[in-house]
Amino acid sequence: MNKKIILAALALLLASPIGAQKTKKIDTDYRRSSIYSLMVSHPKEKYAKEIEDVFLEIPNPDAYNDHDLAIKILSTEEKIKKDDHNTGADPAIDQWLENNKIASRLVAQWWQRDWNTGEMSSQKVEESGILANCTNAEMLARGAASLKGADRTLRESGADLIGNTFVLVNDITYYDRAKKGRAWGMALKIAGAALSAVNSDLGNSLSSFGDIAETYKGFKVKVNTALYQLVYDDAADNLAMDTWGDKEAFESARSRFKLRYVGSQYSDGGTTSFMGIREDMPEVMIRKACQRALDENVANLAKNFQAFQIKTPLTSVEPLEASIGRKEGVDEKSVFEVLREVQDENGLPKGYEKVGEVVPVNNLIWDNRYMAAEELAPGANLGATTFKKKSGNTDDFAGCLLRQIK
Amino acid sequence: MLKSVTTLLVAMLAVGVSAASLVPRHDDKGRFGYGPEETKDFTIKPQWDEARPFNNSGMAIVRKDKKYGMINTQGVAIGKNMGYSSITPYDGTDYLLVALGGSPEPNTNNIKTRVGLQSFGFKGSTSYAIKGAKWGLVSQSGNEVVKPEWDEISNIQGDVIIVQKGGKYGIINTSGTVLLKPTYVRISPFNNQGLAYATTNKGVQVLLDKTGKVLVDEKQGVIDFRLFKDDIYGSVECITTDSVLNNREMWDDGIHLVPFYKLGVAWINSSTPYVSAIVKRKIGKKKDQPVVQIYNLDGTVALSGDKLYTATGKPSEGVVVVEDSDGACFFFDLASNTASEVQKRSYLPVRNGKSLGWTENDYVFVDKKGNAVSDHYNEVSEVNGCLAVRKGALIGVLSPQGTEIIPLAYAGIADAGEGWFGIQDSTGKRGLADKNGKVTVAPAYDAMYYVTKGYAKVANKRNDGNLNVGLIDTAGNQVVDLVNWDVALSDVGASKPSVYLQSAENMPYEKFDLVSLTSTPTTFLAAEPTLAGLVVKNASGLYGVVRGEKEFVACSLPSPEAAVTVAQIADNLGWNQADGRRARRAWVHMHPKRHTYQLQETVDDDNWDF
Repeated sequence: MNKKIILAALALLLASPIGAQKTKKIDTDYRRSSIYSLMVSHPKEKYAKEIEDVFLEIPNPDAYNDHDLAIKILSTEEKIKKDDHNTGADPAIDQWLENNKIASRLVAQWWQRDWNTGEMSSQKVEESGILANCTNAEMLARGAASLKGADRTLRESGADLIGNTFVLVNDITYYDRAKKGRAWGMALKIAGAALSAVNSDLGNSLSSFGDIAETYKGFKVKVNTALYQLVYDDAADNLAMDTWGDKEAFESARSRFKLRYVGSQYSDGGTTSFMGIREDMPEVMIRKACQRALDENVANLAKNFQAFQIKTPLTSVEPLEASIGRKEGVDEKSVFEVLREVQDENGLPKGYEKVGEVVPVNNLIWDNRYMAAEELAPGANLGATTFKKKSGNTDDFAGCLLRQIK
Repeated sequence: MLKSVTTLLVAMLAVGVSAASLVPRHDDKGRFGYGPEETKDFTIKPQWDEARPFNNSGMAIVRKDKKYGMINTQGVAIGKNMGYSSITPYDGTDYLLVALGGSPEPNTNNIKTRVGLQSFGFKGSTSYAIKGAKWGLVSQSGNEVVKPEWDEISNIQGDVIIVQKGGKYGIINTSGTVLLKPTYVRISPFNNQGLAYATTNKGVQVLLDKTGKVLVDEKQGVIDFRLFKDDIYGSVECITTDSVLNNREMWDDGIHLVPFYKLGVAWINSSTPYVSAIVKRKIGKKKDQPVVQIYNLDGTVALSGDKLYTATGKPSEGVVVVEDSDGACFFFDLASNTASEVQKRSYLPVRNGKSLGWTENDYVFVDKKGNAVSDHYNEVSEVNGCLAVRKGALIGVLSPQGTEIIPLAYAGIADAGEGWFGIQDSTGKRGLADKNGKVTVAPAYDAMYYVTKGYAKVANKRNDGNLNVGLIDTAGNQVVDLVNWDVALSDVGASKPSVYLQSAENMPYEKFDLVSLTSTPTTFLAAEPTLAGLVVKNASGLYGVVRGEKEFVACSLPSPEAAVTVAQIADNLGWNQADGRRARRAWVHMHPKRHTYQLQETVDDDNWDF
C-alpha cells in the first residue's frame, strides 16, 4: 500500500511515467548507445562539396541515439591512415579529438551543461529512462530531480548509459571512375566546340552534357570509419559530480575526460544501383552511395566490436521477428544470441543472460537499406526480419533482446 | 431452396473475405501467401517470394524471382500472370507504372542512354535499368489504363502524358488514347497555357496543344519558340535547358519547367497570350536570316505583313515594340497590322495606354503611336509602386499611369515604410507624405527612420554633432520629445510597436508605454530594431531578441548577428521561445564557420555547443 502511494505521488515528479506496460519500450531505449558522427573531407578531391552536403543530410543510424556536437565536418589535404591491422587510428584524428576535448563535450551534453553559466541538469539522463526501470521504492524516494548525490547504484546505471557513447569519424572520398566515360565525353566536347561558333547556347549544352555523362551513372565513394568510445568509469563520474554546476572547475577539468580508440572499418558500398533515381536529381545518387557505405561500416563495426554492438528487442515471438535488417548487416549467414535482462535486488538491471540463438529465415530478411524500396529490392517491404530458433526454448524469448554474434 | 441458400452463403462468404481482412503471411520455407488476419490459415496458398498487402481496390502485388504480378482477393492473376519486370507508383497519382516483359539489368553500368541525348522526367528502361520492357499504366485495381506498348512515358502533364516509341515522341491522354503519334525527336513539357514545342528530325520546331493539335506546323520554319517572361520589361526567356538543369533553385520557382533534355531553350510558364519565335527568312539577298515572329496562342500569326523584324518586345494592349534589321524602332499595332516608326529608345510594354521610353539620362512617356505625352526626365526609378522622377535637381512622384502625385519640388524621395513617402527638401530636412502625396509631416527633421505601425523615430543634430532623438506619429504629433540619446522601435511579434528609450549614452534602456506615456526600467544596454525583432544586449554583454513583451531569444549569444540567426531558426522550427541553452546550441549549429575547420585545427571554444 505504502509503495503504491509513493509510486503514485512520485509519478508527478518523475520526468518519465512509470508502469509495467511501458517496461519493454523503456528497456529498449535505456540500452541504446549514443553516437557523435563526423566526417573528414578532402576539399581538393572531386565532389567533396557534394559529399559534404549529403553527409549533413544523412541522419545518425536509427539504432543509436543522436549525440552529435556542433562540428560535423573537418577538412584535410592529407591522406587518412587506414587501420587494416587494428594497430590504431590515424594520429591526426586522435590529436583532433584530444585537442578539442571532445570527451568532455560529450559528457557536458549528457549533463545538459549550459555553456554560458555552467549549470548542469540530469534531465537528459532521466529521460533516458534509468529511473523508470527502478522497482525499489526506496531508490525512487531518493528523488528524481537530480542524480547528483544519489545512491551510487542509481549513478552506476547512468554511467552505464553514458559509457555507451561513441564517436564515428568517417573519412569519405569519391571513387573516380571517369576513365571509362572520358573518351565518349571528350568526343562530345569537341562537337560542342564546333557548334558554339554557330549557336553558343546549343554548343554549351552539348559540352556540359559530356561532363554529366561521365559522372552520375555509378557514383561510388570510399569510406573509412574510425570508432572511439567515451570512457565513463568511476573516475570520470566522480569528476563530473565534483565539478557539477561550477563553470570554472569544469573548464579546468575538461582534458581529464577521455576517449578510447576501438577500431576501424572500410567500405566502398559495393555496387550501388541507380534504379528508381530520377535523372534530374543526381544528388540522390550521391546520398545513396554515401549512406550505403556508411551504414555498411556501422554494421560491420557492430559485428566486430562488442562494445558497439546493438541489442534489438524481439518485437514478436510468434513468429520471431525483430526490426532490424540488411542495413544493420543482417544476411543469410547471420547468427544472433537471445538475451534476457537480469535485475539485481534493487530492481535495477545488472546484465544479461543468454537463453538461446536464432538465425534469419531466408527470403524473410528485411531490406531496410536507404532507397531499397525504390530499387525494388527483395524484402524491402517486409518491415521486420523473421528468425527461426537455432537453440533454446522460444517460450523463454518474450521480452528478450537480440545481439548479433556472427 | 437449398441451392439458393448455398448460393447466398457463398456470396456472403465472398463479401466477407474482403481485401481488408486478408493479410500476407509466409510459411516456414519463406514462401508468401495470404490469409485472414484473425487466423494463421492460408486462403491463398503460399507460392511467392514477396507478397504485398491488398490495396483498397482488392489488388495485391506479388513477386516470384524477379517477376511481378497482380492478383485479386481470390488469388487470380490480373493482367499478365507474373509478366511484369516492375510495378511501381507513378508520379503521386493513383496509377501504377508497369513494365511488361523485359528483364532487370544485373549490372547497371551497362545501361546505354540514347546517343546524344539524356532525358529527365521520362520513365522507361533507361531510368529503371530494365531491358526490353514495354511501359504503361494500370489502375489500383490492376486494370489497364495505358496499354504497355511504350519504350518510355513521361511524368504526368495534367491530363496528358508524353510517350516515346522507337526514339520518337507523341502524346496520349490519361485513358491511353493516342492524341499525337510519336513523330518528333524532342518535346518540351506542357506549360500553364497548355502549350509545348516539339522538334522534327530536321531541326524545325512545331507548337502543340494538349489535344495533340499542331498549332504552328513545320512549314513555318521555326527554329526556336520562346515565351515572354512576366517581368516589367516583357523580355523573352532565353535561358537554355542546360542552365535550368544546373540551377536547382529554378526548378521550383513556378516559372521554369524542368526540361526533358539538355538541349534548346527552356520552356516556362507565362501569362502573356503570345508566343515568340525565331524563323529563317530571306532578307535582301541573304537567305535564312533569323527574324522574329509572334503567334497568338491558337497558332495564328500576330505580327503579319511583309516587313521583317529582328527583335521584339512583349505585346501589350495591342501594341508591340519591334526593331528591323537596320535598327529602326517601331510600335506595331496588332489590330490594324500597321507599324509606326518611333524614336530609337528602349521601351517598356504599353501599360494604361502609355509606354516608358528611355535613352541614357532621358526618360519620357509615349502613347501607342510613340508620341511624347509627358515631360522629359533625367532619371526614373520605382518607389512604393509609383515612379520617382528627377528633372535636374528636383524629384517628384508619378503614379504608374503617369499622373503627378508629388510635384517636382524635393531634393529627395524615399520609401519610408508602410506606403509612406519620405520627403527631403533642399535644406536637407525630412518629412512624410502619404500614398496620395499629401504632406502630413512637413520637412523639419535632420533624420527620420522607417514608419513602424504609424510611428517614426526622428532626430535633430546637436551642437556637439550627436543627435537628439524622439518619436512622432504619422500625423506629425510629437509622442516623445527630441531629448533622448536613442529610441528603439519594433513591431515584430506584436500588434503595436514596442518602444525603448535611452536617455543618455551607455544608460540602460527604458520600456516606454504608448498608451500611458510612462517608462519602466530594463537591464538592456543596447537595443537595435531588426526584421527578427529587437536585438538587445544585457549587462553581461550577451545578445538576445525581444518581441512584444517577451525575451524571444534569451540573452545568451555573442553577437547581434547570432541573435538574429537564432530568432530565424526559432521561427523556422516553430519555437515559442529559445532559452539560453537552446539558443546557444542553435547558434553554433548555424555558425558559418561550423564546417570549415581543418583536421589540424583546434576549434575555438566559442564555436562549441557544449
